[in-house]
Amino acid sequence: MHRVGTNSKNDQTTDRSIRERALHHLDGLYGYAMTLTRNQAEAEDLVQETYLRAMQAFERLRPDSNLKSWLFTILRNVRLNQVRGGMRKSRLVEMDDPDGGTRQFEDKSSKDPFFSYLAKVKRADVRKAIEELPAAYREIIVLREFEELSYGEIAQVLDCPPGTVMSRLSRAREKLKEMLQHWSSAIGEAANEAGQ
Amino acid sequence: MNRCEEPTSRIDSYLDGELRGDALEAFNRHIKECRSCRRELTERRQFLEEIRAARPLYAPSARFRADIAALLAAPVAGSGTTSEQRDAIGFVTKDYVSFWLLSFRRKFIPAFVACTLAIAGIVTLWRVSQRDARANAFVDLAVETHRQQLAGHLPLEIRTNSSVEVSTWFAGKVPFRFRLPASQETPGQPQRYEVIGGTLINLRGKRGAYIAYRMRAETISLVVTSASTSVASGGEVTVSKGLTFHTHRKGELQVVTWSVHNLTYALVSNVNVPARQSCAVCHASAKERDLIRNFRILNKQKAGGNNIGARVLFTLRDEKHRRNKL
Repeated sequence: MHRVGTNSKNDQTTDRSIRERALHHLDGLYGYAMTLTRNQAEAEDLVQETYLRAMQAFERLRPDSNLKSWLFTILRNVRLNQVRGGMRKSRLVEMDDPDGGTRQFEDKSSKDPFFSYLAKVKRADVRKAIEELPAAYREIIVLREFEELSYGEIAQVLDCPPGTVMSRLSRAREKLKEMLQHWSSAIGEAANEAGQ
Repeated sequence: MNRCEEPTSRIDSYLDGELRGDALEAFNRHIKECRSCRRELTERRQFLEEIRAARPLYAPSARFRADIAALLAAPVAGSGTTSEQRDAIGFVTKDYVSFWLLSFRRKFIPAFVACTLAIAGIVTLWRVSQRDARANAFVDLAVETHRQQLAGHLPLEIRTNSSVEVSTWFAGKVPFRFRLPASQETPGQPQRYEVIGGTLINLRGKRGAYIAYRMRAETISLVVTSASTSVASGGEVTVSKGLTFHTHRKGELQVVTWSVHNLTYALVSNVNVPARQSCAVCHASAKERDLIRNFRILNKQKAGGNNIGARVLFTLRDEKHRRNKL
């Protein structure tokens, strides 16, 4: 439960603190919104709407509440309402959008050019595979692997039993692994043919 | 525990930090004894690390980050949550109306249906006439407001180029929740128009929102009110993406009205193009082209007319069919 009655004189301080904490989840919310909408403008609208709705309820939020999963739950509910209302349909995402911001590919982890290159290729493959996953698999991979939500938190966001989270996550991971292995073998075969 | 039967899901649960208590102890004991599961655990851990190394897939732009920071820094007027907000936050509302209808239906269905139909017919006719009258009045008010702005008689209470700041400024000042889209521009392309500010206006005794945009040297006016004050109706009707637009000509001005999410909008400009093309004046980017292409003109009628019958003159399917024939 997130909501409690409040009469504390520290409400303003609490509210400011919650707003600051809420801003820390912007990257995660935006990534999740992009996963759901696959459209930059729609994702921005969705995140903005999420914050607007959350702000109306901040004062009733307990300081020790799980703010992150609560914000993600609001975002998903807002999106569901939009889809049910038929006002917004997912359009094809422009994957090659050069605009600063939508995708980050820079590698800062390795100083060895060769390993840096391999890591970069690997990350690009993983990203491409995730983007090609079915929507439900893509969503649960983002929530678990990128946002590191627990099974219980994911169950809350998706409004489903934890058992469903486990089985769907397992299937999503297997599908992802299968796609990456398939690509690796295809690249290997192509390299061999080129070598011959 | 047979090591060969150790499911991958348990290894995943362990790596996800979801194993606790006895299950965790049993897993640790098994891993110490089972070489194949240790290898599987290592491979699985490496696989999950590879996935996590790919984040983030997307990151918000600096502009959007600044907008959200400004939004969170702004005070929020009104602390009550609307039913729509409660739905989004996860509340469930009991449907008491259904309960009363169920208790009624066994004894009174025939008489109830007949009376309801008769009353509904009368009420519908009355409401249609009222709706059209209100719609025409709204169009006239929007035009009058636009002309006041052009003449310099309508000062803007907030002046900013940020749609978020304008939306936030209106929060609590108008009797409806109102939000402008966060982003209109297309990356890499010049912005075709920008918001310049807004002010409160009086619409039939109720507060409405007026937002001014600038496109090149022209001023475009957006008037927003609640659907209880007026709904969009009349004019030339076009449909796109589930929204119905009504285009009216008022002298040199063109007024496009539409209703969505319990709000009614009127966009006033001096654009002088057919209804179907008018949106392309502002929304001509590659991203928005599909939206424009999906326009369907349902019918042409004089402003204030009641004929909302659907005569489809143009659809995307028709266009594809024509292309195929060519």
